[in-house]
Amino acid sequence: MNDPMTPAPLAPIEVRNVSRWYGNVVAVNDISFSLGAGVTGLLGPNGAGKSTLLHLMSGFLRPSAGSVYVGGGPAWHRPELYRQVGLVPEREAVYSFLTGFEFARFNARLQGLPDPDRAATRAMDLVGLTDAQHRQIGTYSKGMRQRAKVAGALVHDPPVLLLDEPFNGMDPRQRLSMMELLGRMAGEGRTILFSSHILEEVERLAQQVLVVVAGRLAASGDFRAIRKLMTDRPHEFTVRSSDNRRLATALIGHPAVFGVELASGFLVVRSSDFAAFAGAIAGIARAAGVSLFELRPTDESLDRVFSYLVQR
Amino acid sequence: MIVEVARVTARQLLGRRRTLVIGLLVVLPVLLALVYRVGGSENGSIAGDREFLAGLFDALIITILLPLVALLMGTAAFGAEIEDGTVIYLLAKPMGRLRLVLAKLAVAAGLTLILVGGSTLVAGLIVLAGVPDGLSLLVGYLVGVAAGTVIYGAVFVALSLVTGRALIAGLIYVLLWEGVLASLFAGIRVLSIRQYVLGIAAAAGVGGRVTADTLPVGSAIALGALVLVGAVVIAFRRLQSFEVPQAD
Repeated sequence: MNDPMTPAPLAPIEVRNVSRWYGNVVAVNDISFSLGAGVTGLLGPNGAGKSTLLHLMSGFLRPSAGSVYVGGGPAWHRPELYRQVGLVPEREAVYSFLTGFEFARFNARLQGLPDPDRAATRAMDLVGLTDAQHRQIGTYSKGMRQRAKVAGALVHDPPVLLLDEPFNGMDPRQRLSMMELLGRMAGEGRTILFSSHILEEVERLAQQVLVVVAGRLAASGDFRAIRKLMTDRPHEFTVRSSDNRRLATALIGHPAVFGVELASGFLVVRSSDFAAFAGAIAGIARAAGVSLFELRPTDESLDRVFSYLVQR
Repeated sequence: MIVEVARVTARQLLGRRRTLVIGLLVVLPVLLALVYRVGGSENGSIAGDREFLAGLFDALIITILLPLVALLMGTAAFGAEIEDGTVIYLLAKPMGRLRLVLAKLAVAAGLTLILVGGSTLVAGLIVLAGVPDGLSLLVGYLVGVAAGTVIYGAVFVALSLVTGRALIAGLIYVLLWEGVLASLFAGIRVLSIRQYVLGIAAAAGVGGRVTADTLPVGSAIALGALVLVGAVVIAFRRLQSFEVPQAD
């Protein structure tokens, strides 16, 4: 039986009512969540507060309010944290005069590992840089540098991995291979959090997602549920056709359409169901004897999607 | 761990373009000593040799070379990594922050000692060859330089963790405070590392005071130790609470 006086064990990452401000600017505003094993995507537009949140979790920023616990203890002011955490920062700079192997070994030695050479060899192998491990990092491509950073972060086999925009600069093959590696590591029971402003990256890798917009947590939970929210939101299209007025009459009768506006030379159509509307419009136009010239979503920018999630 | 930090820091410092400039600077006393030895007017006079070396030591090495080299090395030891963001790789490790500060200080002071101490040694050997108590005189100068590398090094390492404009702040200290104000107002000499170095050199073998306004050796050692410990504590505290600059 559990002792009611014993506090519940902390999740690998616990963020409780955390805010962080710089003077009058609020970068992170009263955010709470906890993360367990698996891959979680931290999604949000540039400047949303993703890096600030990751820096709070990695002990590189003091929370202005609230608390952050990682690996069973506070993240701030606790160097011991880094035995449990591997961190891949967003900034590209790495010690360019070191070879990839030397960089991984530098990390292994500073972690106090018993066999730094072996740990470095393993890490370079994991990120697929074995062939280039004895080249100076300064000669690496952007994608290779990213992988060297990841090798440095996982050289001590940490249970928690925090990655800030880890796929930046990687080509599709490297991206896929890194996604497989992170997926494999999560499968071994690690807690992996990575930030991205690209929906597709998060979609392919993360089971859980945290959506941050303007410093606030706009949505969190299972990725598929949040993706559905994003897809099912009202969409707006502009349509050009051979007879806009006749097409407007035909479209307004469709259940997925809740508004049609006749503008100068085109129609603005509002739909509540992206997939149903996209599948039906060609048939509706054909049935009405109208030729479609152009169909264009007008509000597909990620910022608009995020704004919708915040407004909900 | 400390060795690894020191090794990477040394490679980083030696790979910088400013190190080449430093290399050229430290050759200057040696060149002057050679010119003096080959064609100096006081050539052959022991008193003249002593006087020339005292001038070289006080006017060039202690006043300009030592603080400038220590400034460039000390502020770059952390400053370069803070500037380009690589400091995160150093700090995201389960290492005591005091050990990190000491490792960085050891490299900054060690490289300064090799460069400035080496220059002092070679210049001294050229000028003092044949002077009866030349060796003890030279040891005195070298001890002064060694003390200076550590005290200046600690102050400039701490400065780089306090401000992003450590180089400018350090130049103002060296040129304005030590170079102008400390020579005009006797009261602020107790806050001049140059004075501690001169006091320590005098006690270590140079004999008497190097210049008329040198601090007594006791005060020089006590104040030097106080500044050294204070700077290390400040650097340690700053590193403990290090925050990355605002990213988004």
